[in-house]
Amino acid sequence: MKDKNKRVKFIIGCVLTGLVFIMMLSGIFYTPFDPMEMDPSTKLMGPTLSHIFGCDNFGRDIFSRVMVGVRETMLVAGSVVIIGTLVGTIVGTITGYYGGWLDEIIMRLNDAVLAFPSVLLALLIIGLLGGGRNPLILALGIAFVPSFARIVRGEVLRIRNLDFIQCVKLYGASDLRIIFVHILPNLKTVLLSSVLIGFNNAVLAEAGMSYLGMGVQPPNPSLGRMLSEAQAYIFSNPLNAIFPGIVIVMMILGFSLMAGGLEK
Amino acid sequence: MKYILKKISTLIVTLLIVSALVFFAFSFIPGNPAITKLGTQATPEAIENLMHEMGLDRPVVTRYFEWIGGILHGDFGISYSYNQSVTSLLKEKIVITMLLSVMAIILTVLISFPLGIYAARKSDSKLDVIITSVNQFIMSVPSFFSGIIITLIFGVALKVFSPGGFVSYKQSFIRCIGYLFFPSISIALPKIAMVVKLLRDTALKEADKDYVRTAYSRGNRTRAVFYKHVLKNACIPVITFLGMAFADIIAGSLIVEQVFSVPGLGRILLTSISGRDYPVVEAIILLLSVFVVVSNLIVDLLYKKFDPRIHV
Amino acid sequence: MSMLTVKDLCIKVHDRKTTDTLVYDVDLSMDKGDILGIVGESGSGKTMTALAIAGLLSRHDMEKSGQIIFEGINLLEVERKVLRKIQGNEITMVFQEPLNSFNPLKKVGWQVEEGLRVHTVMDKCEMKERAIEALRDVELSNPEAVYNSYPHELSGGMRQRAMIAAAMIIQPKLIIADEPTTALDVTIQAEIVELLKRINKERGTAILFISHDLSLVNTLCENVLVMQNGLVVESGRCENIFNNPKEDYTKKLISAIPKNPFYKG
Repeated sequence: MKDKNKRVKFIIGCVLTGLVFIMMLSGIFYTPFDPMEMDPSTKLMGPTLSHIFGCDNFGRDIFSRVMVGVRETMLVAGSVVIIGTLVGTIVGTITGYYGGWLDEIIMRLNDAVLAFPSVLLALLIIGLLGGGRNPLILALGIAFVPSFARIVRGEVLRIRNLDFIQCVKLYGASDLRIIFVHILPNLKTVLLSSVLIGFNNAVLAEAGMSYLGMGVQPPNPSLGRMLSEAQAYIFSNPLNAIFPGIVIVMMILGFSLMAGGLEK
Repeated sequence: MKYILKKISTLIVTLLIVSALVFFAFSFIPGNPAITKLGTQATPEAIENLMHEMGLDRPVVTRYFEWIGGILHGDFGISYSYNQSVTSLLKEKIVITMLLSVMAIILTVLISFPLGIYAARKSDSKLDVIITSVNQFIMSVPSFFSGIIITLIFGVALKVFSPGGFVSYKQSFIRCIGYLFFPSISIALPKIAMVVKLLRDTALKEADKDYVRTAYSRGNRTRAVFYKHVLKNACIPVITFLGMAFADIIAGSLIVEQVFSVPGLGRILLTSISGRDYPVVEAIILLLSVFVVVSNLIVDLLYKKFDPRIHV
Repeated sequence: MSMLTVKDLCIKVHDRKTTDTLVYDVDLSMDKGDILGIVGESGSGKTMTALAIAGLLSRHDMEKSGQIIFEGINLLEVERKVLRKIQGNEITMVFQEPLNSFNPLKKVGWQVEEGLRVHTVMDKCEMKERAIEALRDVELSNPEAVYNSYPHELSGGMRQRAMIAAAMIIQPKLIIADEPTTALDVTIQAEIVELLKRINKERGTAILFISHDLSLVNTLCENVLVMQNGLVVESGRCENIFNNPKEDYTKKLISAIPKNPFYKG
């Protein structure tokens, strides 16, 4: 009975994620309308057959904008996770394997950054660099590295102390060999779950940051920004805000359900 | 006692580092605040004069220590954009943001604990399945979106509150809290879901442990085993989580303040960042860091009190 | 009428598709003050039998059949309320891993008192007195200190003694000890066994001693049950079994005992 539950969750997750993916992929080649095209005659229109999600206050088709916005979010979230994983793994492996004063210093720094809310950190960095997609990726990437580093370091420490590493060392294996052949491959499981969780958090972070106006700049669509723009018109056409939000929820929910299904 | 002192000194060091980083980071960005203020048409002398007035012509390190010195007297400098002391600018806003965050934490604990306990005790019942599924869903909704939904349902449709109609605590404390209730719920929702899941999962895991079996062997009824033994053990990771969550809640409040037009630190932080009003930004960052670091400290101490296994 | 009679005890575990029988048709009986040992390798079903008698096998996927009659009450059929009155009161248990079997967050003294707290109405001072007395009885040299410590602060041997004190404090009729010495050092093992022997002699408490260590069983018990793969392979008085094993399995177990001049058995 428990397994059936799990399978149902997994399927729902796949369906949701799949829908979002299809939206994103087809958005690369085709959108029903030009996401930037403003049409005064359709201002703040509700959903119709041609404009499935309706139109925003400039008369732009929300559905098309959502398709592009999803791509934006995925790009940013994906890049952030890649940066976090790569840098985090490097930092975590080096500090975990070699230890010593290097480990102490880096971990102090790590914990300090970790304790700092990532939103704040990202805001600061963007404040220094200005808004836009690349600064956002950099800012969030930096904010995400510490948690990856910590997890990787913990795992490396655990593996390093296992007996078989001592054995291999006795055989004269070099440090590099041990790291690349024995330790890194064993990080797979831990990294996988961290990546999945990290991706969800990255999507949330990107949405939040672009809601605040720190993401990709207008008129380029981004889901968070669409929400903040729609807020002003909440009395006239609340659906403007609801659709991009629902898509964000679909992304996150779909992904976490899928991840949950893969786990056990 | 020694432990507390050690922790406090680490705290101070961390704050100093953070303040230094922030201060120096802003000094290195291209863009001269004096020029921003006067405009690009200003004469070099005017710029120089203003810079001298603002103290920008002195070396960075000196300025940093002057800033720190000022802080110890409660003086955070003068805002570039508003020309008033940062302290007076931020006084009210800090209170509002803190009210919001504290309300969010209280709501989180008040709502999640009973739910989590219920789900743990009646695990595998239909209600438990519902709670778990709803949980999963709520965790996937960003707080600003739930804020918008709440505004729609309670503000626009049911008219329980009027969106954007923030009442200051100076006018009426009750109505202020009443208004802040809705943004706090938006911030708290994802945290509630996470605590419920954590509490339930941990309690169930603990229930499989040996000491629980011992408790049953002594003739305790299930309820007694749960409340006397399982719950206290299950609370430990929850406390750690709540400590980390407080930092997130403060960050979340910055965003949710925008949704509900609450005049807290969020809005002024954003405008100050884009307006290059560094004294304000530095002050806010420093203040928020203080709150985060202090709350981490409190969590650490609480943790020690709860779990005797942790050695000082 | 004997104190405890187990007849045709079968324990089955239901997986999604298969049913595994862990214990087949176990029979045993104990009178007041008896010391019975159950011996066997891991997986022989001895722990399951012990847990069933203690009423701790309440997982939904476990099917128990047969009879466990304690003082005239069939523990397998009686309702939970009645079972709970017996658990921790007339039948108490000592577990294998004293570190994990204690609640890490509560003081040892509090946990030793727990039997009293559940089954009697005593005030705090009385309970504390009885607890310290019980701790002294199990040969702990500083009972007050032990009362105020947490489980992780004691050594393994001290913890197990505290566990026995907790089991003894309510003057039970039967103590079920499930591999109480397995997690301890060899010298401490012998001490614990001596302690149990003494308790049985002084208080007349029956002891059901589960172990895979034949020599310990031989030191402590009068009667023994040998189990293998869920079945009782041989049973009878210890001396008879050890000097005259009938079954091959028993012979193998006996021959596997390390010849150690320090062992009394």
